[in-house]
Amino acid sequence: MLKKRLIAALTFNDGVLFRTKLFQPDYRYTMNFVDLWSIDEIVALDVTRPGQGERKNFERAIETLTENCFVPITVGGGIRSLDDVRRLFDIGADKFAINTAALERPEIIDEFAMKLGSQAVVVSMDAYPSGHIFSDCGAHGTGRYVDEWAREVEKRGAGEILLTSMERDGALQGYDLALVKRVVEAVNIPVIALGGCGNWKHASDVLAICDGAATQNIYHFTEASIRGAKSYLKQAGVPIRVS
Amino acid sequence: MGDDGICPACKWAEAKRNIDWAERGAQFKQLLAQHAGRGPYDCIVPFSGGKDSAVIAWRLKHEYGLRPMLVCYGQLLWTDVGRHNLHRVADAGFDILYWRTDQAVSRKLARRFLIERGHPKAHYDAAINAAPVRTAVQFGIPLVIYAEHGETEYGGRVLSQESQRTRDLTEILENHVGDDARNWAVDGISERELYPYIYPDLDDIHRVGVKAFYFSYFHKWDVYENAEIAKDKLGFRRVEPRSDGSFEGFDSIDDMIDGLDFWMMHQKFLFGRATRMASRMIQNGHMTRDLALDLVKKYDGEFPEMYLPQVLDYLGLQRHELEEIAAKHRNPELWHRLNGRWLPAYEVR
Repeated sequence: MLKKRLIAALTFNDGVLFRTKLFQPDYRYTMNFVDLWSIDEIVALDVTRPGQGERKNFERAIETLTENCFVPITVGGGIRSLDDVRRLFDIGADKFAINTAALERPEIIDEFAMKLGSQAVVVSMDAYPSGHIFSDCGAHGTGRYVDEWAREVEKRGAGEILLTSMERDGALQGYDLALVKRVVEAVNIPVIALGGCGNWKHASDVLAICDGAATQNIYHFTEASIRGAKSYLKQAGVPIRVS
Repeated sequence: MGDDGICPACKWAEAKRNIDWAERGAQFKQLLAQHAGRGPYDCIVPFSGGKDSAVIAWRLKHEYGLRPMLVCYGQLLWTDVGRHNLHRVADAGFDILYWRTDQAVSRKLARRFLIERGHPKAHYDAAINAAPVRTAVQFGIPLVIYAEHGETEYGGRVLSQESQRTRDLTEILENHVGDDARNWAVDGISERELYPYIYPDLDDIHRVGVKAFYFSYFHKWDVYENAEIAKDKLGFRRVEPRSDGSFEGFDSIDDMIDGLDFWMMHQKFLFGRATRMASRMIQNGHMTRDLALDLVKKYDGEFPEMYLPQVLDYLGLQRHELEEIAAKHRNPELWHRLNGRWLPAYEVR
């Protein structure tokens, strides 16, 4: 049986680690206490708004990450072409999350899957409880729904879906389980849920539905926190790697 | 910070001058008529032991004729001044429910949070939020009156006008602690031992109908005036001549560890205890900017020597270990290293 995954979602604003709330950078944190060993996977997202910073600062942050850890790293935020991917690939990223670019031109998913292999293509979607998808860091409505979009991205070759609940971003009240369920039931590829994780019970609740529980709360990334999370999940019967 | 370079706290200080406080006072009375007196006490006042919550209790009793229950969650390392003031409040005619929790657990958490977050009182923040609400539920006292809305008074994101008035009990974890205390059950600390830090179930809160309001929405809030009232009416003592890192000795004087907490704040944000207090003094018209500038330059970021041996002993740390922890939290954009010393990259002007 495939193990379930606990995933750290690190959001960078101009290369600096921030916790976000309702899609706005909210609280700065230092990378010095982010434990890069015991977490199962890392999703690193560039949340810098256009004109508010430089891409190279984000790339430098990713470089620091890849130099210091050996767990798979998905990188996303602002990826619009294979050129963008190539640079991040050289730095050491394993998977690439595309969001707005895929909504604007869905063929990009086919192209990415062809060039990189489906395993490296993650389609990230930001949605409200209604299932409406928003693009450009949550700024624009797209008129699309998570389930039909999930089916399409799977057909086009996406290897994984990263589903973010915009309403729960930065909240600690639990994942939007109904939203996650809706996507999981639409596709066969793994779904990672993000947004709303407050405690380990929330993680175990969502892992009963999907494959990966991503948490963006900076206080969940310390070595002691992850140890606590893993032992809680194991006790709750979630198949998880305990190192 | 706004586009004009003025922070929300200063804008609020300006706006405060135009508020019709008599009208707000009438609103407060209406609210008391609606919610007070529905349990064995009229209301609960979360009480740190300090001047602000003590003055609120005093005013509720003497200006509004209420019988509040004060819920005090004990400081990690009480100072003598703090202990004296705490007892003065009971002497002045109040019931205080005092939570003293397992200090073996508290010490472990303080150490962990100093290391990981640069904030040794993260669990204290959780407990001071949980304890009054827990007590409200247990005793069936639905009205809780908090002091000030921090985001409004001192700067931060104010979610709505309603959030300045009513404390949204579901948002406490996110805004005040940042984390769920249940997550701390690791390294020999069990979830049961974390009970004082865990926020009560929302179902219970709603069953009792707990309503929490900010006193500062209905009354002009001024920490300096509070300190004066506490001294005159309650016989509060101060730290003489001043606390480490500041020019005054009336604010946050109850816990020996607070000096370290403020020093860490300065290491992280280059915003120290003196800047914090001077801003409040300027905003409320008690100090000129020129004087504040002198005091900030003189005292901001001063190392907290006053209780250092007790604090290090509590945390189980050596001084050099503390320096190493601070180094990891220093924001490299705000500090640079010159000849083996860390210097601020910016100066207040």
